[in-house]
Amino acid sequence: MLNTVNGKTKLHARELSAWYGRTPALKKVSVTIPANSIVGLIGPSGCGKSTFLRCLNRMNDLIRSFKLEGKITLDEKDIYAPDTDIVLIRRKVGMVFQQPNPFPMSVFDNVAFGVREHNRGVNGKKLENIVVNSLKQANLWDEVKDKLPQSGLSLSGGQQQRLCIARLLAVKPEVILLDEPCSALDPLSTGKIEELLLELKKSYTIVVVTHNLGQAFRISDYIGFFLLGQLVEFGPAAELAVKPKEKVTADYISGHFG
Amino acid sequence: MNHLDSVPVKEEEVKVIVNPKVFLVSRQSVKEFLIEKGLFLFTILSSILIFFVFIFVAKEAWPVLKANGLAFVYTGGWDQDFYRAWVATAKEPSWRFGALPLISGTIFTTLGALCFTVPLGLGCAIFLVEVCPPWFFKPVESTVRLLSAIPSVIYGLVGLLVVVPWIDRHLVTNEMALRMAKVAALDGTSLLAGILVLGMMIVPIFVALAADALRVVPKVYKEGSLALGVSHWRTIIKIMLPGAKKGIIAGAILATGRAIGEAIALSMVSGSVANIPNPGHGLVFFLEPLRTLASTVVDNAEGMGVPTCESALFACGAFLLVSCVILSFFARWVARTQKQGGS
Ligand SMILES: Nc1ncnc2c1ncn2[C@@H]1O[C@H](COP(=O)(O)OP(=O)(O)O)[C@@H](O)[C@H]1O
Ligand SMILES: [Mg+2]
Repeated sequence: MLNTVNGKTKLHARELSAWYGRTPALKKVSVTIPANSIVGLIGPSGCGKSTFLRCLNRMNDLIRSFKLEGKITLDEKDIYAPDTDIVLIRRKVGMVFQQPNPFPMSVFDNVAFGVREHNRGVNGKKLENIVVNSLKQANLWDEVKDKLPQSGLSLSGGQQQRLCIARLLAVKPEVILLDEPCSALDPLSTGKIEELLLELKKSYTIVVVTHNLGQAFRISDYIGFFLLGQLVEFGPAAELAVKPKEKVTADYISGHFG
Repeated sequence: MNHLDSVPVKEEEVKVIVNPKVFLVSRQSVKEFLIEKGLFLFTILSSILIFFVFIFVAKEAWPVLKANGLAFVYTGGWDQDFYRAWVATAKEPSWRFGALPLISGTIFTTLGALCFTVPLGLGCAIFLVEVCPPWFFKPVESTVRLLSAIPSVIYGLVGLLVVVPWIDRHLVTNEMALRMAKVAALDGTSLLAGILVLGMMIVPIFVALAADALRVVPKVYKEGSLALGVSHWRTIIKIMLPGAKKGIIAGAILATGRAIGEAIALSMVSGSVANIPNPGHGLVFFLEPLRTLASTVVDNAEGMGVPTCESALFACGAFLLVSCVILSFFARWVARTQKQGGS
């Protein structure tokens, strides 16, 4: 992407509160996500990490009981403004889910699907190039180059997850949200995805929810700690690792570390 | 979907035979044993019954099928044939029958009804599952299911009192009626009336099955597509419908089965004349009367006392049975191939 200037704000949430029906899930969360960085979100389960992540590409719009207050801006534009094109937001802010969810179609078609949808005219050599490049970018090409016509569901879990990343890269988003992308994967596949995210950071802004603290500290530039719907602490990963400002953060991290 | 498929029952049988646990003596297992044996017995009995129905129909239909050979399928003139056979003396029975008008009538009405049921029903199912709010969904869905249980004679009445007069008043012109006078009387009872009434009858069951099929498409596929910035509408077309394909086809097959076998409602609204509507007549094609195989069995039932007529009607029945068997094999084939496809 073009906005490679470091320090530029990509996403910004201000006083974000959310409810499922009457149950609060987020309480006044404010956070600034800089462009071309990896932001890791940690915290015990049920504390609102997924909810927050799904606010960023308006995925929660699918849930009827969901209510939101506050403001989220993408490149300074309010993504919940009434005249917003939700489809365009989701095109810019793509998402990878906890369970790898390739479509029940071939590996090639999985990657080509979004491209064909966004650009009806594209086909032949051009489409092939996009697919191959996206698979290469996702570090999956070598493993699937002979399996392009096979069903995406026939790949291993880790390959499926990288396929999901590849199909997202193919539509050239600006932000990539990942919700516990490695929780269903073995350590080797996890390592591959971590490497991949570090590479992708050069061109994308990445927000990743993880329950794996080691992973969070290995790959994140910034870390946010959620507890009971609140963003208790947010800061550079290096600082949080050494001396967190809040005691609960320290307890949580040390509790997990040892 | 299940009643198209007797495989689950067969699995029960196997369990009875190979499962040694049922022979352990406890009250629970005795009860289970009796229930399973009972089910097994019913399965056997109904299979035997179906077998005998096939044999019986085939035996009764045989004289006419043998006398006419393939001409039964490709020649017309049923009404005249039937009258001739009915008034013929017992010494010189008339065995000639040409059922082409009945077969074409069945095909035209069934295909026509499917052509409007499938798009309309898919639209309804998509609306129910993907668009309408939940408070609206429940009542509408129960209504749809109720509609599929209404006896067909009611649909026939509605067709006769509403659809037929409407067609007669608004679509049939004097000029058309005059032009067609030699072929058939145009009075509103027609292929179109048959298609509309049949369509109304089979839409509910198709909607119910298609909606079920759409609902069980894994939510993660839909979310994955939306998260790529694909619109809801395109997601429905490219992800949801292909994912529900199997159930949708099963619904269409079931609806087809019902359409082929429908007798009363069609006999009320489609004119009850063994006429072959001619597509060469242009749109008048849809206004011509006709009669289907199933309606014929009902409408010509008074000929049952005459052996030739009786055999001819059983021949119609044999065609209906065979088409049901073909449909059910088709349904199985769809179920099998779709499973292999991995969706
Ligand atoms: N679709 C939903 N409907 C109702 N409540 C939900 C839904 N999704 C999440 N919640 C509730 O919101 C809270 C936060 O959930 P979530 O954001 O998934 O937490 P996390 O991802 O940190 O584990 C939890 O209490 C959860 O039960
Ligand atoms: Mg979660």
